[in-house]
Amino acid sequence: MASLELPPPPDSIALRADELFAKHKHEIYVHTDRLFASLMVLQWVAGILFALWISPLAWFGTVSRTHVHVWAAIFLGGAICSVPALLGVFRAGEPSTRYTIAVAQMLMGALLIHLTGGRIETHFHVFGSLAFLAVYRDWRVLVPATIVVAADHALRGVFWPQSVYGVLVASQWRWLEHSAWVIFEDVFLFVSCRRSVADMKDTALRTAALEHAERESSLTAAQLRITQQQAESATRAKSDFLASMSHELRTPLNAIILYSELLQEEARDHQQAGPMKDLERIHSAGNHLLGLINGILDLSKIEAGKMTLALEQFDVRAVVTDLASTVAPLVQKNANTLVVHCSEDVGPIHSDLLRTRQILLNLLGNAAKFTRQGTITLDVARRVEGGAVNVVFVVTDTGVGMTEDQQRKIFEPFTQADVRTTRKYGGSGLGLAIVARFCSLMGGRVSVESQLGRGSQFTVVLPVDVAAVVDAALYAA
Amino acid sequence: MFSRKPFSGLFRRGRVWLGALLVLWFAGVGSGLWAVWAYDNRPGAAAAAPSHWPTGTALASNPSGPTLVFLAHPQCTCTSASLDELAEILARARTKPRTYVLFLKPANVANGWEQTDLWRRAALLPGARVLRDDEGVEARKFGVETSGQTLFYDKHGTLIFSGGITGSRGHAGENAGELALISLLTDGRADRRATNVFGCPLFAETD
Repeated sequence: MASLELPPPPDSIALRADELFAKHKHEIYVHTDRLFASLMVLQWVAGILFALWISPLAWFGTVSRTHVHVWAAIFLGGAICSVPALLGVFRAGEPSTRYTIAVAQMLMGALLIHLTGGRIETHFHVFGSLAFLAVYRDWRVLVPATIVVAADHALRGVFWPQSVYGVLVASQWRWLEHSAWVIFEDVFLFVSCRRSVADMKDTALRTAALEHAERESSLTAAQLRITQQQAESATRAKSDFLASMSHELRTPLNAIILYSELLQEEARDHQQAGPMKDLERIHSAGNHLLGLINGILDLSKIEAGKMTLALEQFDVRAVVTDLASTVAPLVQKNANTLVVHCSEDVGPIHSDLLRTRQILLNLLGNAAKFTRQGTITLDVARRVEGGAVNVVFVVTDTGVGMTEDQQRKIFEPFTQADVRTTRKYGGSGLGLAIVARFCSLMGGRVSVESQLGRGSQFTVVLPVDVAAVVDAALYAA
Repeated sequence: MFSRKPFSGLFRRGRVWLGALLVLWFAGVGSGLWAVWAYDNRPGAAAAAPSHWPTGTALASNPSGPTLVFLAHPQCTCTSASLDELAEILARARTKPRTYVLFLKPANVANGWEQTDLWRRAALLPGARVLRDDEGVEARKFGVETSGQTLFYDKHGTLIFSGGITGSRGHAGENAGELALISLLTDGRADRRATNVFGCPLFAETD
């Protein structure tokens, strides 16, 4: 018996979702750290270019020397950018890296504002940087950045108020006004970060649930495959067993039937009336048993997939005429009348003659068995249905009929209308099961309509050309 | 005996080193920025401008209104912000002053040395008379030593204001000098008569 790993319990979806979320978050941190590492280098170069363009030289009369801003851009800008850039490369994803980057970004903003002569346009670097920091989707990085901006304004407000606020004496709380605008942006970025994180968590949960469902589905499919294999194996074993048992039973049974016939002949020759009755019983019982075993053998062959068809072209009318004479004694036994209607244009069909005969024999035999002093009708016609050409055989009797429940089960093996039927009419319950399987095997179908006490009507539809509708493996070319 | 996490001590030490490095880095760059701010906010030498329109100057004072005298080093990049502020003052002033923008031209430099972008921008100022100050004669007469120094004389030739019109070195934006001059040219009074001037020295110590 194959064993399968049990699917994870639902709790594991939450654990897996946490794992996926943490992984995704870390990937974003690493990716953003690397972006900022590149940006740091870019800002450093940009700062130097700004300084060289805006204030390359400081003049003292006719004497000039490199402006302090150029040296600040090179060395101070380099110092500001180098540490976060290195951390972004070598310690990407670490909290200390993104907090350092946040601080450095704001310091670089302060330097760039200075290098560009305090241009209002350069102040957008601060707001742009905050928005860029939000790419981390970690609102905490906004905190050190905002603190740096606030501290920059507060300190300069104390020491050089004119350079920040344009007045020589500014309110000691003026820095709060500037910081408030930064916090104003922070609020939106905070909301955006929180929503992004919520979306990420939701995505992680969905992914985990999907993984779980896929895993469960593959396990179920595997389980189904194993169950199916086991069922097929058991069916094959059962069919093999039945086939071999049927063969083993038929050999001695044929001998019994044969010897009972010989003994009957001997008894007749010696005019011994005494054992004749018993010999007839032995012969009859033997034949019944042989029929039963043949039915089992056919059914097991079909279920084991060993039944093949022997296709040939034959004339339906000839077969029907032959059958009518074959079943005539059986029909007459219960004082029934057989009526056959075979249309002129029914023509030939390309099918398995033996199976077709057996189907009709079983149906007519059943009709004869369950009808007393009634009429059994066999209607045969050619019919075109949805582009397919079929021959339809309809066997109608005026016998005992069946309930709807009995009709539903009638094509199952070993099933008769009810237990009393078996006792009263005999039979194995295999006949209709074999009919149904033969019909299916030949690409046709069988159906029944019946009313209890009024009779039954079995309709068999067989294709005119079986080879055109069934798998080639089922018949010999 | 091995500890359960053999590298935990190393990591802890690594974190401490990193923390120390970051503190040092922050202190270092903070100090650097402080130094830059300090440099930008260090004023130049204040003018010792005569309280009345100086005699012997080639410039004519305005007998019917105020006169502004703006002295500049043509190569000083910080003066660019001062020119921006001067343009702002002239644009916002209700009373249009007679404005002189004098660009230093030392003796030992080539002709055209003073014809910089600053000169061209100054020439675009409405009503401004842009002149060359050969060897800084006029600057010396007005006692000016730093580029960007702005002097305001009333119609009587009395010095009303002397100072810079930027908040710090090369830093554009609203500032006390600018506000004082706008107030003088609009309401005729100001709460401030002098401000710091931020710009390049007009004369080297050897000049």
